Amino acid sequence: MIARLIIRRMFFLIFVLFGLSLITFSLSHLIPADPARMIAGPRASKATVEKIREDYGLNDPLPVQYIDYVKGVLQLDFGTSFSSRRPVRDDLGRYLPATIELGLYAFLIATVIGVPLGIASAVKRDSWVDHISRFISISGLAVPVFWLALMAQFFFFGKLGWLPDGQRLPNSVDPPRSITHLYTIDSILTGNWETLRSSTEHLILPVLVLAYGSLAVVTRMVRGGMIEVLNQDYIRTARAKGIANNDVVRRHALKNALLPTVTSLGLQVGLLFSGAFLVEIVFSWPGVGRYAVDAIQAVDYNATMATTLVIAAIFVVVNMFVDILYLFLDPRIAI
Amino acid sequence: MESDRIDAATLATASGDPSPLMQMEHTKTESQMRKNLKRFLVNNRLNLIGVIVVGLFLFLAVFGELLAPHDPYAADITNSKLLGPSLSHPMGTDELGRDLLSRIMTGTRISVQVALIVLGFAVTFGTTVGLIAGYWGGWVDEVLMRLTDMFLAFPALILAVAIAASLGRNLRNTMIALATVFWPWYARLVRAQVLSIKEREFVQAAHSIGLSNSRIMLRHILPNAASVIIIQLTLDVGFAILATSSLSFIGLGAQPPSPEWGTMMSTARNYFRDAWWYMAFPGLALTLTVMAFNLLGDGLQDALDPRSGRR
Amino acid sequence: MSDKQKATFFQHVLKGRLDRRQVIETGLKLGIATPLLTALAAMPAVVSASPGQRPAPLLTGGQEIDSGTLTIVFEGGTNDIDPHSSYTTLGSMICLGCYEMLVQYKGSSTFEYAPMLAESWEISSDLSTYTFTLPANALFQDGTVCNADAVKQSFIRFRQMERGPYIVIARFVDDPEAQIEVVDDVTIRFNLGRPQPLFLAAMASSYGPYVVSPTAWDEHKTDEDPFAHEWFSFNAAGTGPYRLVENTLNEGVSLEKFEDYHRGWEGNHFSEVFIRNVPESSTRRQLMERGEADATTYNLLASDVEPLQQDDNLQVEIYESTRVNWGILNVPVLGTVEARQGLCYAFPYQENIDAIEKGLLLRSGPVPSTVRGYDPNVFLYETDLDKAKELLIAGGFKEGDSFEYMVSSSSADDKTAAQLFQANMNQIGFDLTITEVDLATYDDMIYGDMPADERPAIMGGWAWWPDYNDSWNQLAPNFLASAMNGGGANGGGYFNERFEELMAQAETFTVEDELDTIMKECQQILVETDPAAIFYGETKYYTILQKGIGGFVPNPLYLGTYMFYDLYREQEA
Repeated sequence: MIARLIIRRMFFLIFVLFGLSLITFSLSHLIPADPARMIAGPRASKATVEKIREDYGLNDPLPVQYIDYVKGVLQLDFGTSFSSRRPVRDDLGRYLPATIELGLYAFLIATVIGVPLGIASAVKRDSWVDHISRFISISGLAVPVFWLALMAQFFFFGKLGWLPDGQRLPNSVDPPRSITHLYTIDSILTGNWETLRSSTEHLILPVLVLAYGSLAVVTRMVRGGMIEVLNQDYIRTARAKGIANNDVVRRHALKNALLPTVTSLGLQVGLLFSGAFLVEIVFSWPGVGRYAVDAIQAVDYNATMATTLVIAAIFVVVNMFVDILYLFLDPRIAI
Repeated sequence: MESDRIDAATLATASGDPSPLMQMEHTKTESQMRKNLKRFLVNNRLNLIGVIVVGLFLFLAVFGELLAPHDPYAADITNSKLLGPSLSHPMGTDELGRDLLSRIMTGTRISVQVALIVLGFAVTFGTTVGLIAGYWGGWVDEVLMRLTDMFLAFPALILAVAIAASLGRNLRNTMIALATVFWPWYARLVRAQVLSIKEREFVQAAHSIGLSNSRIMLRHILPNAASVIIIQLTLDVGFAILATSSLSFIGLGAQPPSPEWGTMMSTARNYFRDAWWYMAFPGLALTLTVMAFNLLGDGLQDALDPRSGRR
Repeated sequence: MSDKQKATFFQHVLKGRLDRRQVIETGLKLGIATPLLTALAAMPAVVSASPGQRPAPLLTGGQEIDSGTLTIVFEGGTNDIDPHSSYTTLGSMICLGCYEMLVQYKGSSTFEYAPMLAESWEISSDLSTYTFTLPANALFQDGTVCNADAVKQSFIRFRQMERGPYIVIARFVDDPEAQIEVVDDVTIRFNLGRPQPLFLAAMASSYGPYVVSPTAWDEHKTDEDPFAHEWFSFNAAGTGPYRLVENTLNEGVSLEKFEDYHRGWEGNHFSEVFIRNVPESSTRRQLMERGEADATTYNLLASDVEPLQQDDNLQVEIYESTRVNWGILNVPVLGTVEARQGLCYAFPYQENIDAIEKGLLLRSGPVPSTVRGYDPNVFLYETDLDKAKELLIAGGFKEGDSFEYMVSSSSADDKTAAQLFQANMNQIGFDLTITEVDLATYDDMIYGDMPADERPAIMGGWAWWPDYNDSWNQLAPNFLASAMNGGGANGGGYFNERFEELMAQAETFTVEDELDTIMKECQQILVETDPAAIFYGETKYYTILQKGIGGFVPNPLYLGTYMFYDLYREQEA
């Protein structure tokens, strides 16, 4: 049964990716500005622009351009970015790890704080823990990410000078040898403590800002899930039987808290990517979110298509895994 | 932004089938609902705060411009550029010497308009798609839902940025972009509702007496799906406002001199170093508004949704 | 007038005892041919000037001192650092590090020259041949020798690729194969075929006339890309003091010192340069204040400059530029001269200067006061709303009519000015709709070939400075009919027959007084009789540097760039 569902999901994935390529292609070609002008830069002559248009195949009919594009994508070749003049694949290879590092830590922090907080607030309803947790879950989703980021930057960099304004590493510190492409982990693996300190310093603000929204989601889902479980008959029975409250929580309820956490993983990928581009813009973080927005604004077709496609693909794949995990975890859902 | 679809939509994503929540039947009576509503307003202070702030927000949307202490567009760059908060300008002034309080008050209306238009479109379109897909089922359902899923596969803000950028930067295009992002959620929500409702006795009965399909859909199924739509709508008002401001912030939405909050913050970035108030107040106003709608949405969910009848 | 007097005169000129005006005035009295005088005036005081004349780094007695890393903050990135194609400030900034022109403007002068790649030069008396002598030890960063033939190949590439700033060479050299002559290994001669008083000026431009390695060109060219433009867009192989380490669009550009640079590394220099892309102007300011960046030029808000001057850890250089800001008027949309004059009267010039630009803008016409051909008596509009209304109505518009004012989203100060303009227009019953577009769309609107009636009535916040010191070069790309519809920046579809005539004369002028007369009329046409734009004024540039940074000499033509080799960090005693 599960195998069948997975296969069905795989087919769906291919179908979705194909559809996504069509959507991103049409969207990026709708942009009114002329990419050739963008490549040529201001002050360039019309002849130059025309030449570029020819060079980049921008004069071909759209279906031809689309077919060329899909052919490339099938071989994982997303073409060359108009703005960076490098293969988009290389650019993604460069910027994606930065976003993943950001997102990973934000996710970890959100989970590590959010799960216990959610459980505590569900168990001790209307206590101060519950109030804090409710405040976080309501405000975390309400506060504009970019605003929070700017405020944090203003105080911790501008006013106090405790933390850097942005970037992954200052120019004076060389990135560690690439193993995982995550600076913190690579610098631990290579024993490069100076780089570790510096990259951690640079991570603090963007990660915390990004984590706040996710924390809200996790706390909220865990709390909701727990309350539901605690209200169920067998737990009530257990409580009525006089089993200590803590025991009930540990033995029955905690297991069930796993479910919303897993569900939130899928959600958070979307949330983190959406939040990431705003955070990356504010903190000059060389990640894929900022790369996408830059590409969109620079009329960089290939980069726009590739980034939206890749981000969406990650989103779809993660959600697929979440669905599958879910099947194993939740006995209530019949296939 | 996706986060608040947790209860309804995500559970549905999880199985690819309507969520357990949606399959539960509404077996509430009128009196229970009334009781819930009373509890909702009187017993829960957070809900009350939500109602008050939302009320204030809606009030300002209508009368804000009238009540504003200064003309929100009147510039006086020589005398009152970037003044800090004071008695005559409680929230300070901006780079053209305009009163920020007045601009924030006036900006309320833009936010309401945007939310109304975006969600109006999203709900109408999404509900139609969901209704048709759920009611007809079969290949119609398959095609419509796969299309819906395709839109859902994008992280919402990134898709909105891409659409808004390709259409050109102004508020109208941003609203189109956001509507494009929001409708699939309603399609999915409504479909799940329809799937559960259409199996119920009164729908079967309607079929047996030979009522037309459209009549059954509009008269019998839609009203029963309304409460779920309303809950989602309340939650989404906040997110629609937030998303608009986010797009305006990166220069895609409303354009100056519009007092849209995100646009104001986008400009304020340049003056942040010297004028914290310029950034702080529109952000606070935005946070407060979105928070209020979330509180209200949560409260409504607690009160109206049978599953969470837990207080 | 005796020959002896002439000889003395020449001696004085060569020793640099006379300034430019004196050379011309005295020479005319002596009856020396004007073309020769212009050339003399344009010559450096001592022909074989040595690098010692350049702003001297600390005397170190032959020692090499490493100043470490110079961090510059900038807004934006560039995808084209090909010196023969790039036409942007950042492109210039990088090229001035990695490449060299034959000559450069000397210090902050726009009329005098100093050696750069060439050690010395000679100009024929009729100003038609220019001979440059190269140093014997110049190497390209790819290790090959930079000889006269390499220079010739490089100029062939510049001329024939016809990209970006190629008009800088095309005005003088049509057939580079024939006109550029390799005399010997270190001597190269340009045979221009007619007197060209501005050739040296053009060769000192920071847009284009750089020398690139022909070996690198040869290695990286392909059938589709015979000029290896793709390679040069992201790599550099010049004779300059710094080599490119990395260029990433959204992070920045990193350069390191080129050990074999032909002037050597004696004295105090930076060994690394990092040009960091910081998109936020408030962050750029904070980085300067916190001492985390060393320099930034003209990319803060004008209102940031004054507080930074109060900062004891910073030095703020304010200097003249050759840049003029204006709003392009759409001639076909606005129609009559009166309507355009009306708009000129409605712009809040003084408010813009006082409240937004904070005095970093001076009223001017299209030619800035620092460029040859400037008319000090050029007509300037005063803001006069009654007159504006009257003229707009005479020009066929009626109250309630709306004008579209397009502005690029990247400039905060321009956006603010637009809103002040809007307020003025509202006051006289007209409406100004401000459309904010991103830079790509903005450039596309001005350079593209969209029909006039689809363009906005006013394209605000435009700015231009010449490639080299010449008013023809300043005006031609903006107002000539040939620059319309994609031929240049004439996005307002401006056409004036008399102006075209005058500009044709100005292109081939030989005597500067003649140029002044022509330009006086040109400026009058563009501003007053048939306005092409709302001229906001010429800008004053500012560069913020950390206190310890020395060697910065601003040049009004090399705007927004730095001579990295000349800069150093003062060493603690």
